[in-house]
Amino acid sequence: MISALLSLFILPLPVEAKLCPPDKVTSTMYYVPNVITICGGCSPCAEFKRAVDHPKYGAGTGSLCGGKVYRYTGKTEEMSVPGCPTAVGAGGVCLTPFISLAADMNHYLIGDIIEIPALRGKMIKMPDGKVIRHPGLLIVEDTGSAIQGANRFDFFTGGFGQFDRRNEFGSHSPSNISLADERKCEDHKKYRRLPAAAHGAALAAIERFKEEAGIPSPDRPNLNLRNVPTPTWRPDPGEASGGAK
Amino acid sequence: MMKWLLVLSLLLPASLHAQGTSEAEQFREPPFWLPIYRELHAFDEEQREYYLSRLAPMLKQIPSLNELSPSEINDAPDWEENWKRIQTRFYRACKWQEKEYGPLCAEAAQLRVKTILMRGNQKAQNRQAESEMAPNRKQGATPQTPPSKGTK
Repeated sequence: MISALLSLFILPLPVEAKLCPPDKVTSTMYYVPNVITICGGCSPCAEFKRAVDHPKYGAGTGSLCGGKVYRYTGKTEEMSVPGCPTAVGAGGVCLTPFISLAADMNHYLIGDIIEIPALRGKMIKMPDGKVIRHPGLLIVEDTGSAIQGANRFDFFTGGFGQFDRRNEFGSHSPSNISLADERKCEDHKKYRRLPAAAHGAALAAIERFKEEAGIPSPDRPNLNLRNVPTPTWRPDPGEASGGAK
Repeated sequence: MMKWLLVLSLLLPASLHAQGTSEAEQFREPPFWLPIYRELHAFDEEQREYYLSRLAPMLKQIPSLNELSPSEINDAPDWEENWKRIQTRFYRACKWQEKEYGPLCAEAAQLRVKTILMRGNQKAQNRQAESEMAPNRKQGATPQTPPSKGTK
C-alpha cells in the first residue's frame, strides 16, 4: 500500500498526462523558414541556416529558391512535389499553412480531417498577403516523433515561426485563435475527428482553401474550384462533438 | 418455400454488402495494423522498400496470406484491389485470432508508424524525441528505423 502510494509521487508522469482534456487539442506549431523572407535573396545566410539547424529550436528544413529545400544536415535537395511553395509532409503532399497538421500516426491516418469550430469563418492572412476565410477544418498531412497522443497536434504555419507577428496561430495572434501554447487548454481548442462519411463536403472546403492559397494538390489535378459553388460545410447536429475516437 | 427463398435472395446480398462496408470502415479506425491504400501508394521508393521487405515475412505467418507471391506484395502500392484483399485478411486474423496474432499485429502497426515517420517533420523537438527512442530500438524493443528524411 505504502509503496503504491509512493510510486504515485516517484514515477514520472506519462506522456498523456501533459495533454489537454480529450476534447481539446494540445497544440504546437511548426514552420519552414524561407530564404527570401529571412535573407532577402536566394543565397542562404547565417540567420536562415540557424533557423533550420538550431539544435533546440531549428525547423529542420528550410525552403530555398527554385523549388529546393535545405536540411538541418546541410544538404540541399529538390522538392518532391513540383510547384510546392511550402514543404512536403509525411503524406507526400504539399503542406498548406493553417490547414495542414502533424498528428500521431498511432491515432490518425494521413488524410483524416479535424474540425476546430472556433476557426470557422476566421479571416486568415497567408504568407503572400492574401486573406482567406478559414473553413474550420484541418487535414492530417504530416507527423513527427514528438507528436504523441490522440489530441496532440502540430499545426503547420508556412514560413511563420511561433513568435512572428504575421503568424495567425502564433503567440501574438488574437487569443481566440492562438494555438501557440501547448499548456493552455482554452475553449477555442475544442475539436473532433470527422467520421469518414462526412469527408466529402469537408474535403471540398479544404481543397477550395488550398486552391486559393496556391497549393498544388493530388486531389485537385484538373478541377478548377473557382467554377464550383462554395461548399457549405456544416457540422452534423446529430453527432456529439468531442475528441478523437 | 419459394417465398422464403425469394426473401433470402433479396436479403443476403444486402447483408454481404453491409459486412464489406463495415470491414472497409474498420481500416479507418485505430488500431491501424496496416496503412490504408492512400498512405501506401504515397510511400516513396525508400519507404516502399523498407516497408514491404519487413511486411512480407509477417504476411507469411498468416495462413490466408502465406501464398502471396513476392510480386503481389511488391505491386501492392499500385494495385488497390489487391491491397484491400490483403488488408481484409490481415485485419480478420488480428481481430478474430487476437491471441495468436496479437504481437504480430502490434508489430505491423508499429512498422506503419515508423515508415510514415521516415518522411515526418524534422524540427528539433522531433529529432530529440527520435534520438530518445533510439536506445530502446538498440535493445530490440521495436523494429529498426532508417534515418528520417523529414519534411521536404
